[in-house]
Amino acid sequence: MLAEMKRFTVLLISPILLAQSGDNCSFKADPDAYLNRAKRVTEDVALRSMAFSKSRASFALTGEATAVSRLVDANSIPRQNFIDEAIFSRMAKAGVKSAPLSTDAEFVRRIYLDLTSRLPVPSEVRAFLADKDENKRSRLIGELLYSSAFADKWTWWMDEWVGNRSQSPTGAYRNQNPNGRNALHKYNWVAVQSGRPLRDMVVEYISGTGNNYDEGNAAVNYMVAAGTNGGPAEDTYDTMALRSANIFMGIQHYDCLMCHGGKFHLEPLNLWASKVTRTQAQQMSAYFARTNVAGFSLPPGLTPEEQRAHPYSGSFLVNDVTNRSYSLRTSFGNRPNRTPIGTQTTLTPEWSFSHGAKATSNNWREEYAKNLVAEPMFARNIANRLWKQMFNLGLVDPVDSMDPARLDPKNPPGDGWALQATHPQLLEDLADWVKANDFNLRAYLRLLTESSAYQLSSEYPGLAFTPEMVPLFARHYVRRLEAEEIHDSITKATGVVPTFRVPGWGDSMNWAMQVPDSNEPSSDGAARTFMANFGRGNRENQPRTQVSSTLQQLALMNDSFVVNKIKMANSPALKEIVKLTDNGNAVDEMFLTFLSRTPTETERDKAVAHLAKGTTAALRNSYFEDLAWALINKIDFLFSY
Amino acid sequence: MKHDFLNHPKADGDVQDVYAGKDHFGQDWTNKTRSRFWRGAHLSRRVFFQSMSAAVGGYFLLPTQQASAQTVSGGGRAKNVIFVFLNGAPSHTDTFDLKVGTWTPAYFNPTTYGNILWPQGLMPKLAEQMDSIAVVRSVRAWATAHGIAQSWAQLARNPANALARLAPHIGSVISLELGAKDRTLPAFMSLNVASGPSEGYLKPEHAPMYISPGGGGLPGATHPDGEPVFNRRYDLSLSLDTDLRTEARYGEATEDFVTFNASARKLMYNPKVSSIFTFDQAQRNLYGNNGFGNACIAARNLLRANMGTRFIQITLGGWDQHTNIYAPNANVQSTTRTLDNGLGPLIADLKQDGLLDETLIVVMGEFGRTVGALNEQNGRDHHPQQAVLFAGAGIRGRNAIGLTNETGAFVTEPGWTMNREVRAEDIGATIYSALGIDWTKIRRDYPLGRGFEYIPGAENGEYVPIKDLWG
Repeated sequence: MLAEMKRFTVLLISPILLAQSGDNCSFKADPDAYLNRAKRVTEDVALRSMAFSKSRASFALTGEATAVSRLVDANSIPRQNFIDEAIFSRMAKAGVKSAPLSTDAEFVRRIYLDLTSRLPVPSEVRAFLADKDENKRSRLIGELLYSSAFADKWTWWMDEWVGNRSQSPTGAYRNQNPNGRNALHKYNWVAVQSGRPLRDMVVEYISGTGNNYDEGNAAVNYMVAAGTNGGPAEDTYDTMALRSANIFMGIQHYDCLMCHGGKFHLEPLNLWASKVTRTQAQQMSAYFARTNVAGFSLPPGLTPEEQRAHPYSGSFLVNDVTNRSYSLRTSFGNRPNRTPIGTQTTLTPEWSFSHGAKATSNNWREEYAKNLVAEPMFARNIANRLWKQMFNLGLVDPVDSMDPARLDPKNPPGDGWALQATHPQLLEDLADWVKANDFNLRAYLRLLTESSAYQLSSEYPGLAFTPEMVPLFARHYVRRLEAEEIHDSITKATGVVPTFRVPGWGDSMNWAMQVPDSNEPSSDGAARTFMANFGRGNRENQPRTQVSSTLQQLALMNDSFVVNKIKMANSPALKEIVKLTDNGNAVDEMFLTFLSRTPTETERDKAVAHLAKGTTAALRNSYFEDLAWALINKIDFLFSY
Repeated sequence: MKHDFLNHPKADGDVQDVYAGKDHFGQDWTNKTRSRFWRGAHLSRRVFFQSMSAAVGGYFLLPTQQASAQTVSGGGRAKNVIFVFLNGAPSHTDTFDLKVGTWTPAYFNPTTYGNILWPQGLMPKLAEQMDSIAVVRSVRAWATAHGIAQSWAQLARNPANALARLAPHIGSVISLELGAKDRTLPAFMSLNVASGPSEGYLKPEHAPMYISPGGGGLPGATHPDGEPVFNRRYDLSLSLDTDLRTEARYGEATEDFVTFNASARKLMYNPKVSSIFTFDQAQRNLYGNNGFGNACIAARNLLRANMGTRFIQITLGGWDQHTNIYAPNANVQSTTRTLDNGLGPLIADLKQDGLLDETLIVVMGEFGRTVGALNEQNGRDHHPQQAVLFAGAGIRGRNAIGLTNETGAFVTEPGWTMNREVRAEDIGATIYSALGIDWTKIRRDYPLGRGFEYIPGAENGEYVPIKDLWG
């Protein structure tokens, strides 16, 4: 009875609420979870880095007094480029000391993993450590940027970014099928390898036409994957628009806005989104209303076998029509009904951001793409996502939570709101730089990795580091390797290189970072099962994760995938090392092979003592295998630090 | 509050049907205008305004704070769930909602137990357990395409909805709610399947542990090179990392590498764990001597051992019987025999142990199959009407809830408090409530930024537990 009365009262006192379309929103149940999302990321980063350093034997040996003395004045860090100006002057102003620059050993492993996802071999580590050239870090960065492993790793990154997949795991979307997925994978690889501007790729994702199995126009797979079941076509247009805003502008809130306006819903969360109406969001969807994604019609008269064998069987044609618009008369589906505005029953495109433009030509998707790449949010998003990939914490994090109204330092938000980025002017400068450099992936990664900020040590000696310091980037943040990187590290260290087969792909592959989907390689169940433990996600509804778990530990200790690779009989790398007669040298070589570093004194002594028990050739082999196993199960094997 | 899913009121304005007939998803949209078919997590208008009124007053009054932890009468005392998932969708009119016609094979031997008509000849071992079994015949699936309906049943929500993207499996929610901190085994074990809906946005410790028990111990818990070699390697690893594993200068460790390594180590060479998954041929024979029977033995042993597992899913496939459904020793005869041979002894053993009273058993597929005479290929196709079997947790046996028409195509009497069809969401609510979990709960840590509702719409009373099972 009380509840009934309360409801009645509210209806009376809040008539304006009734005018809002978002009456079914549960956001009000949950304001602080969203607000705290960024805080949780920060805490995770701090805890991960602290737990990691705590766990590393080398650090534990350093006494507190020595440790603190290794911290340095932020002003003393050499400025390599404008990134360092921004990071270290802010740090100095905050009165926070910086971690020292990384040692060469730390740097060499980090840069190999971050740019190519593959461990260096011992000779590469040795050569780098011995090199006296003061520009050797820049030189190495340059070499890695043009390695074949670089193209593999960043093709994977593109695939993950745009959600390239064969089948939809929830059955909620149209399937690209293996051929479409492979074609997009190859398309991304060619683009990365040849250094195409990211901007040009995105234009093709958004506005490309053709058959999704054709490599030349495989960018259309991006549109195929947006097909939304269980609703009218407008649901699909909404999905196309909200995916594009999320992936290419770092704005996730269209998922809310496609159901209801932001007013009274998104205020605690995103200033910009709180002022966007559902109609404005739908006008963004309207850009996709003339997109046609149709199943390819096979020529008539084929037998069922011939149909299945046809190279375009199961493919989709993506093109545009000239006469559709976004309907405001829908009565079912994934979103609340769309209803006419007065007598107006359809919507045409209107850009919500800086230009406020209406479509001028007939090809609405092309208009969207043109507006998108000219939009400041586009450059900011790319600058921030790649920053996150290299620094393991975004200037805005989560990277899809960008608030367009809180990013421009020249145009700060009003009362009660702060600028969103940890370093607002830096993000603007990076975005400008990316734009001025033609959205070139290699050039931007070079800018990031050549900075002293990137090259800081991940160890922050002493007990002084607190979560509040995280936004200052006073140390390098560690990351757990991706499932594929763990697989490839074990493969590369042991030298036991697999041959993978992927459906629809002619050539075989040797590295997990080369496969086109997070459920591949089909040909190697053992590798797939092993990697599944490390959270590869499915590029749709299960996110990729870098968290740890019990099953990961069981897999690292007992999976035959690991145990077979460290067998002396199988491993070319171990066969070479076991020939070294001096156990000290052999231990050094083992540490360089698996961990890209030399052992600490304690580690060397203990490992040498273990190998010394190998009094016969057979026993010696076993003890080398033990050491390989123990190194794979060491914490620094699993991390880029 | 009025619940009328079948005849939703016409809304204002003129609306159009965009689809009529079946879409390529297999779902028939005819007459579905204005249905709430595809709706997702939301706050109802009523609760929304209540919250807003609280906001006006300066604080949020959240639905979960209004609702005390509700449990059904007689329910709320179960500790475990065994969720038998009949993947592929069984023919309800040949199993739990038997309809006899000229097509019915004679060996079915329809027999009445209480108000349940049961194919005694097809499932004789379950027939012996009828005192503990209830069937709900007024269940209707939302969709009739396998993938989406399978996820729907396991998530208790529409998986195609944007807000369900990171939704956890019912079992993962139960792990979160009831998993003991010091458990040796995961709270959620999923047997005889290797993937599926998982922990969603929850922490990985709530993910199902996928095992296909063969009787030879817990896979992955022994070292391929043997225990002595493992011990030697582990000792070396400990000695190399002495500082790593004892160092605690930052106080309480986070959930890091070391913690997970320790819990993995607890599973290894652990005789109690190993004995759960170790059983001989004689045991296997008692349960049908097949993968499903083995999983039933493991489920029983898991509950007996009580080492932290609370939710056990056993998946049994092979039910998508479009052709030759009555072929001798194949299709329905073979799948039901497998089910009967495993589940019958499982119920009997749990009863004998006294564990049945604290264990809710739910047996369901993702939807039902077409009714009446067989199709042109002598099989049955997809159909939304279905029937679900319940046992244990103190429910009343020999009890059928709901009535379908003479062919079994649709519900004529819902037969339960809500007086409408039972949905996957209601079954989810039933499972939660039987365990004493508040099914109306809304968690505030959902990354999609909208409250994560255990059962969508439940806070508004839209979906509720089937209390009548205990009535």
